[in-house]
Amino acid sequence: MAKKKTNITVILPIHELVGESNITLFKNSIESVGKQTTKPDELLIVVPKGSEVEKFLTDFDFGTVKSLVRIVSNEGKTDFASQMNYGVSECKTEWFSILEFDDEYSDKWFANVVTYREAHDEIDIFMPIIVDVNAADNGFMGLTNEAVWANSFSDELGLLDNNALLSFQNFNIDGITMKKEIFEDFGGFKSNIKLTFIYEFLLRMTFKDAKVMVIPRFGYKHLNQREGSLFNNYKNEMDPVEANWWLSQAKKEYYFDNERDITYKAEEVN
Amino acid sequence: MSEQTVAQKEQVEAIISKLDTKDFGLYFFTLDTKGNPTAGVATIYEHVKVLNDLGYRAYILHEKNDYKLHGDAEGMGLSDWLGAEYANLPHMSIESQQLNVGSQDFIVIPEIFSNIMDQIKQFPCKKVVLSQSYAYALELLPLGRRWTDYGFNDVITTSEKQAEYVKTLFPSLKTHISPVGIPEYFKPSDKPKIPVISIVAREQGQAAKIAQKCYLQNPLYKWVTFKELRGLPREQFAEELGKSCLAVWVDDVAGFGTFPLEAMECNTPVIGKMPNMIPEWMEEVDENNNGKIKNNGVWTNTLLNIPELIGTFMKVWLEDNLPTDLIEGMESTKGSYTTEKQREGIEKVWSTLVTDRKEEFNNALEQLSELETQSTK
Repeated sequence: MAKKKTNITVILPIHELVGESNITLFKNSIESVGKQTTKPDELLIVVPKGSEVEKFLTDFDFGTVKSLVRIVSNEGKTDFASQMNYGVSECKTEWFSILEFDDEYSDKWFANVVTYREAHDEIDIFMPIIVDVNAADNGFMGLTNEAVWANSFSDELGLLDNNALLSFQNFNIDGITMKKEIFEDFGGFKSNIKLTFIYEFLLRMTFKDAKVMVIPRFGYKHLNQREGSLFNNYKNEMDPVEANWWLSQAKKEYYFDNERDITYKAEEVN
Repeated sequence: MSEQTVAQKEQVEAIISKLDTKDFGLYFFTLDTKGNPTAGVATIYEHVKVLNDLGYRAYILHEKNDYKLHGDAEGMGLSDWLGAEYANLPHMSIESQQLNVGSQDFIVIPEIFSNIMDQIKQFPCKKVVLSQSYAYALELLPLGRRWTDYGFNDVITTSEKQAEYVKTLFPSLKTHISPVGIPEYFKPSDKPKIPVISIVAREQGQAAKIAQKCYLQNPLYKWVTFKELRGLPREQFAEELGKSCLAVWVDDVAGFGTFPLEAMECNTPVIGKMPNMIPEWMEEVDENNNGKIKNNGVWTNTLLNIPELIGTFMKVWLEDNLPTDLIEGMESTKGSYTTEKQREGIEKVWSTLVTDRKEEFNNALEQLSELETQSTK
């Protein structure tokens, strides 16, 4: 008997893959898809058209996940948000999940998504509790997304809502598994927003009443402070004034579905 | 034959006839908790309900007239926490002075009320102790007195262990075992479990202390909610337990240990402190016939390490990595204490008690017949 389809596509955006350590991280990441006790339908890897990473992946041995892999390439902007938006447009299933090349799912993440999806058909977005580890030594740093399970944190235990999000920003979309339709209807990621595009995205989703639940399981391992990663670069290069400005912008922009022209001008802020 | 003997014989025959036709009353003295749910009272009501279903005339007997069956502005009544079908069972109070017991009737008194046993020692009816919590057996009993001093020669209890213990105190008592039944509404939730820990502790304030220690020792899990189930209506209690990922149980003087069994029926693992009297469902024998503690829960002999055990449990639960032997142990215990088995137990116990009572009167009848024979000679 054919295995039941999960109707989930894993989208893994990647714009470059340089160095042995990064290649190892990438291997571990896609292996975490292969090790799922309930496998997604597809692993969609988004690469910049004509890039080195596209060439590298053409001959790459995907091992146990080979049958799941489809590589697509986008043109134009190759930042994470743009690649994700492109990946979702290429996604053929009703649900998709986000995987970063240096992160890993826990083995039962999609099994849990299927279980919770069946039990809670009102939910549009499932988030894992993320275990943050340090890139330097893989040491445990903390948890992310777990706060919604704290008593009285949000209106309903386990669900993220707009009010809660406005007072507590530390949520992450890594590993998130959501309905493609919601992503497209409510607008995708806004690549013009630096630093806080994830926060703006979640504010927008909850503002538009998407039902967001955190599955109370360690579903995803996130590598923090990796040299060269987007957020590590922000941390090292962005001054606090600009960081605050992007935070305030996120709180303004989430009312709008579509991306607007938005640029930080230090002289105006100061 | 004297007229007195004839009258006595007729009286005894009438009693036997009433016992044969279930034409007698069974009066269960019960504390009026004024709407506060307690498992012990729920068990008494279950006895009364089952006995009425079986065609007996069983009553809940309260001391005062103002027993609280229905909720009001001040809080719940029995119908709110246990259910209307229990509130609708026959009730009676001593204060109403309607209680008129004869030799064919039975009065059942919980073990703690030895003062009541003393007050009714002259009653002609059959008197039975109901002992659910061995720890309360001596609570009000004057030094040197025994239940048998008040005419209580039979005790109904919930386990072999409690029966053995009671026998050590009152060796001449006849013991009857009627196991506890877990109602069907203790079942797994139809939704996946949530990171909420249900706690039941005998002592007020103990649950809060465990939660506080747990947060201090495991700050990583300070977002996990502790919920004390004390005082909830029974079905809501079951619902909360079914949703929880873990149950914590602390009850040193538990007689039977119903709460962990309720949790297991809900597929909710239990961390518990082993009570002074190890419950029968917590023990098993190994291949060499040596007793050992069963893996149907996480059992510890000290309160001190419960917060640490909770931390360890939460880690493996969040990792989807619960030990298989724990799950298998729970599965092997589930279904051992059903309401059907409880019903069978109650039926058997009362059949024995009524038969024994009849036997007493049959013996009396024989003696009267002997007297009759002797007087004719």
